[in-house]
This record gives sequence, C-alpha cells and structure tokens, in this order.
Amino acid sequence: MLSMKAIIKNYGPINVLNAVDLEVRNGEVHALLGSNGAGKSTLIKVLGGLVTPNSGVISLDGNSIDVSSPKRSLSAGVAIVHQETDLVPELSVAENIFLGMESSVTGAENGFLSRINRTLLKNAASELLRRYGLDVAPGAKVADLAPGAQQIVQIARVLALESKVVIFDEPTARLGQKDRDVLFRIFATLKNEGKKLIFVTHYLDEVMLVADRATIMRDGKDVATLETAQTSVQEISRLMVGDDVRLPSRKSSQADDEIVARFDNISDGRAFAGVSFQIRVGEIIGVLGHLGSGRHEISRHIARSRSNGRRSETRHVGFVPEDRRGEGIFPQLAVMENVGLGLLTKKRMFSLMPRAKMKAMTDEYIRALQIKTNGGGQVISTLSGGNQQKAIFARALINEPSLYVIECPTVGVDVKAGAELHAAIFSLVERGASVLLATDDLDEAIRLCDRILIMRNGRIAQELLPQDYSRQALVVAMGAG
Amino acid sequence: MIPWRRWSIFIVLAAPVIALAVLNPVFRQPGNLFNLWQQASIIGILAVGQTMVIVLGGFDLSVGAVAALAGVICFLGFGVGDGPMGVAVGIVCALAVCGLIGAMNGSLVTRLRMTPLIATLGVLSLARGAVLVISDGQAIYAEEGAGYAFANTLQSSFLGMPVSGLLFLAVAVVGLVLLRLTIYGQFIYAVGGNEKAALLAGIPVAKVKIITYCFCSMAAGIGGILLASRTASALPNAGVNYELQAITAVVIGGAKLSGGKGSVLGTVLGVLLLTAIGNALNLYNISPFWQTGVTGAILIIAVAISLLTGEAEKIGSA
Repeated sequence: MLSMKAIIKNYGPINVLNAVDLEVRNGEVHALLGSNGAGKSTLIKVLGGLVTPNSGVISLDGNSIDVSSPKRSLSAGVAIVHQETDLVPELSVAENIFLGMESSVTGAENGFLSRINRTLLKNAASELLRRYGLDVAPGAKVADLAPGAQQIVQIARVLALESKVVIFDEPTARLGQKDRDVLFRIFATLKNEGKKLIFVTHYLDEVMLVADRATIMRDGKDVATLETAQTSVQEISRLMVGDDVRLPSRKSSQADDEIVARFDNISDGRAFAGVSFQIRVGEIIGVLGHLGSGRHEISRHIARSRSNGRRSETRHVGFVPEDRRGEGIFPQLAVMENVGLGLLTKKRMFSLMPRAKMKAMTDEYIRALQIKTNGGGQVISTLSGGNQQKAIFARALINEPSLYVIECPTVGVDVKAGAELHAAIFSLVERGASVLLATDDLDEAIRLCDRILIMRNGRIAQELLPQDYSRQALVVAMGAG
Repeated sequence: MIPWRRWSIFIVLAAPVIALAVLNPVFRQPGNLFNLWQQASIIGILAVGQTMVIVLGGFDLSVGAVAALAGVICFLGFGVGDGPMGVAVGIVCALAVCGLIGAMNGSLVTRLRMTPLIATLGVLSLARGAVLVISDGQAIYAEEGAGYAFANTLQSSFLGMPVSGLLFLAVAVVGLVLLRLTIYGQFIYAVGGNEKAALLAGIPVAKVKIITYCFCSMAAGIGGILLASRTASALPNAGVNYELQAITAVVIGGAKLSGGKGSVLGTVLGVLLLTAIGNALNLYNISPFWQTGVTGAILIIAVAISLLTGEAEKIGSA
C-alpha cells in the first residue's frame, strides 16, 4: 500500500496542500479528482520528487520512502506518465522505451561507451509490449507513429521501469477512443500485477469505468475518498465543486430554416473528400470522429475558410482551437491582449492599437464569461486552464461572427468551468449564431448538438438526429470495435 | 515585486557603472558622456532593428554585413551626382538595397521555411561578398564636396548633442512606437509568443515577418551609413561582428531568443551599458583587447541572472 499522511505544502502564505491524506491499495486504480487549482497536480509533484512538502510522511508497503528528488522518487518505486510526450523522434520504439536504462536490459557493464545490443533491446521491448497487449512494432521509428501510438510508447517507457506505483496524469486528454481502450487494458494488466495506480483525470465517466476508488480534492484538502461502485458522477462533481453543478440546458433547438453556410463537395486533397453539408442559423452541429477520420482537418478547413476567398459564404468565423496551450494562448501576453487580438486582425496593421476599446471589451467578457483574473492586465499563462479557455472564447466572440468553429471546448477544463462554457455556447445560438462543434466528448455532443455528423475515413459516414442519440449509437457509428 | 525582478539585470550590471560615475570624475564629464552616446549609436541602431526580429522569434545575423554594404552603396552614390543630389541618391539607394535584403531574409524564413540561422548566415556572406566585389576590397572615400560634408554633419553636434546620438534616439523612438503602440507591434509579440496560435487567430504571419526583417535590415543600413561617416570612408571590413554585439545588447535588455519577449527600452539600456563598460576600460587604460571578453562575460551574467530569477518566479507560482 502507498500511503501519504498529512502532506502540507505552503508557498509563503498560500496553503496549497493542507494536511492531505491519500492511500492507494495494491492492485487498485485510484482516481485523483478535483477542479483546476484543487492541489492534485501539486500532490502528484510531491510524489514525483518535483515539489518538496513542508511536512508529511510518505510510505510504501510499510516503509517510509525518500521522494526528495525525481531520481530518488523513481528508485523508491514511483513512476509518473506525464501529459506531454518527450520521446526522441529519430530513435526506434525499443530505443525510446529503454532510453537511459539500456544497461538494465543488455547487462553492459562498461558505461555509455559500450556497444548497444539492439537485438537484446528489441527483444526486451517486444516482450514488454506483448505483456501489456500493445500493438506497436518495437523496430519502428517513433517519428513515423501516429500521435496516439506515440503516447502509448511514452506509457510503455514508464512501464519498463517496473515501478510499484504508477501515476497517470491526465493520460486520456489527447487520446482517441481506440487508444483509450488500449490504455485501460494496460490498467487492467497493472492491476493484476498488484501495482498501485493513481489516475488523474477530468473525465468522470472514465473514473466510473476503470477506477476502484476515487479521492476528491478541493482547495488543497482531500474532501472524500469513495468506492466508485457506491457513488455517482453527480455525487463526485458535487464534491469537486462544493455545491451542485447545474448543467446548463436550453429549452428547445434554436435552429432556423435560413442557412448560414453551405459546403458543397469540399475536400482538402488528403484527409477528407466529398464532404457536403449546410449549417442553419441558430444550429449547433456536432462533428465526431476518431483520430484520422478527417474530423480535425475539416474543422480546420472551415475555420480557415475566412482567409480563402470564401468570404461570400461565411463572412467571419470565430475559432476556438482544440490544443489550448499549443494553438490558443499567447502565453507571455496579458489577458487583454489575448482577447483583444480578435479585434486587431480586421484592422490595418500600421494603425494604433485601440487599447481603450480592447480593455473595455475585455472587461465586458471577463464579466460575461466569469473569467477569474486580477484584471485584464494579468499574464494569461498564470490563469487556470478553464479561465484560459474562456479567454480564447472571448477572442472568438469579440467580432460577433455568425459562425463559430469550436473544437473540444472542455478538454482539461474542470466541471464548473465546463458547464459555464456550455452555457456560453447556448447563449451564442440563442442570439442567432451557428456553431460547428468538433469534439471527442460524446456526452458533450449529445447534450449540445442539434445534429451530429460522424466522420469516418475522410467522409461523412452518418448523420444522427437527437432521437437517435445515445453513447452506444455514436460509438458504433464512429466505427469503434 | 515582479518589476524589481524584471530590472534585476540592470540593477546588477548598472551598479559598477554608477560606482564609476561616482568615483571617477572623468567618466561623468559632459565630454565623455557625449562620446559615450556617440559610441553607442551605431550598435544601438542595429540593436533596435534586431529587437523587433528577436521578439518575433527570429534573429538576423546579416546586419553587420548589410551595414557595410549600405556604407559602400551610399558612398558610391556620393560620386554619382554632384552636391546634395549625390547624397540623396546614395542614401536612397543604400536603404532600398537594405530593404530588399530584408525582404529576402524574410522570404527565406517564411516562404521556404528556412531557420533564421541558416537564412541570415547565407545572406551575411552574400552581402559581405557584394561589398568585396563592389569595392574591390578597397576603402571608398567621400571626396571633398557634399558627400564629405554630409559625413561630417553626421559626426558633428546639434545643440550640444551628437547628431549620431540623436539619430539613434530617433530610430529607438520609431522602434518603440511600432512595437508598443501599433497593431503591427502587437502582432510581432503574438507571433513570437505562439506562432501557431497567431496563424489560427488570423494574423498574417508571413507578412509580419517579412516586414520586420525589412525594418531590421533598413536599421542596419542607417547604422552602416553612420559607420562610414565616422571614418569618412566605406571600408570593406566595416561592421564585422556587429551582429553579435547587437544581439548581445538585445539579450541583456531582457529579450528571449525564443521570441515573444523584449523591449526597445531594455535594448537601449543594454547598449548603453555595454558601451559604458567599454568606455570605462578606456579610462583606466585597460587594453581594448579585453573588451570582447568582458562583453562575453556580461552576456553570460545577464542571462544567468534572468534564468535564476525566472526560475524563482516559476517555483513561486506553482
């Protein structure tokens, strides 16, 4: 059993962890939940040796362990699968899996100048991959793999450490449905081997599916530890937020008969072809599909249509990209500059910045979307994920376009902020705008969309109407399993 | 608290300069301060242009060679027409060529997606090669006449201030206004901060980059004309290593080579600091050969300070 007792971490006067207890049993998947800023990533960093707590005791199988540095934490038997991949793209899968620990496989004793025995590495890698049922060729070059497969290699690298405790930090945020299933099979194998798993995630449905118990954190304290079999998504989200999250809903579809954008037989020559559909005024149209189905490319294509001379079809498209950190925010700029940028792209480049207007409109959106800041001047990278996402929303809203392309709006966003973002989308269509929602979140699609287009192999494979909606129907239509 | 951190580099590096001003009466004499301002102006003008490119997330190694080319073209122009006409032809041609070189840098980086290192390194050699071919490796002198008078004017004083220093001030003000007050400047920070996001937000990224490389080269051109006026001759090896001094000043001024961060004010302070330290070495009769090494040490200290304080900031907000 892994046990953390009375972990306290202060940054000056700020109390980030307030006597947190966590226990993970052998062969258990233990979900660690909480809104952004609740303290769960600090707790993980304590285990990983990246943050030194002010006080507290950590023990593994009855012995207290030293986690004062990442290296010590690793040798004590704690390994973390981080969100970002940090593989060496030009090396093979096998070489990446055993990067830095080659000698443990090949038994070389002469340090790093000794010859690498690639055959031994490859055999060891394929044995490891087979043990966890992973379908990746150990000899393949990592650069040639799809992003999902790269994530799997990243996980395999941690599995190769054979640690007693394996921590997964939001591993599913960037995985397609198929790769998620692979991940959950890895969980099952690790469980059978008696490992202790900590699963950090925002997806409560995944928690109900794979976790045995869940610890919920709020404001730096563990507020509850529950058996998932005896709880519900509602109870968990209530504990996370502190009071009931009221999921926004709209009374009826706002969709009008008037058409705001029509796409006839469009293709990008690679990822999708022969796609035709129309978006009506006030409609939320969902686009779903696995990685490689063309879903991502088609939403990009439509978002870009504003600069393709297609102005006659769509005057201006408000765009919220899926990868917030990589494609959304300008990390060094203030919230006001991040939001106000939406105003600038329509103006002549060599004119003065309309600072007063940017500030006024940013303040307006900070209020309307309830963005938590110290004011528009705060640097955006210091906001929580949910608030960053709201700022990117505000950037798209600021021009009041008639069509929005919104990708995965609630990935990595806590339950409360997610509900507020959904409410914002509803209020858009209530005011007569239209939304193309490209998402991986089935519940989100079901709750929000008037129609759902399912992409498969670069084509619209199916169109679903609300009476056909169910998670199962969507999964089947997307071609899973 | 955070502004303190932002200026910590200057506080550390300015301490010896302030001590010098207090302890050494020669240093603070108006005549010496006049010299200091004048000495700072050429690298200063190059560094203002460089600041814009670095904030954009690139850098420009060609500025020293471009400055030399501008000097050569300008001084050739002096020979074309007689009197002010020749001066005008010289300046216009020099700056036009610089603008074209900047457009070439920008196009290589955007259209062909070359890294700025390779693109501007190639252009550096092209420009230096052009200088050698045009000048046949010989110095080009401004003959008696309007050109000579023009060169003299650039090195004279106006209301007790050096004309070259005023030119530096003017270029800095233009750079400051462009970066801080215009939409174009905001786009530079945005592209440098997150190019992918800038593209998706509808910013004309390629256009912004090409224009910025043009500005940088034209600033180098102004600096080059000033440099030639100092010796009243365009020398084929003028401006060697100036690009490194300019980049050093920008980095000391708090810019990040990865882009998105930096300011004209910081750069100006960086240039003044470097020049002041060179000046001090002179005052104490320390061989000028020491100066290159000292510049290197300052660069490393400045970056070390910003990394160490930046790290402290990161941990504090985790």
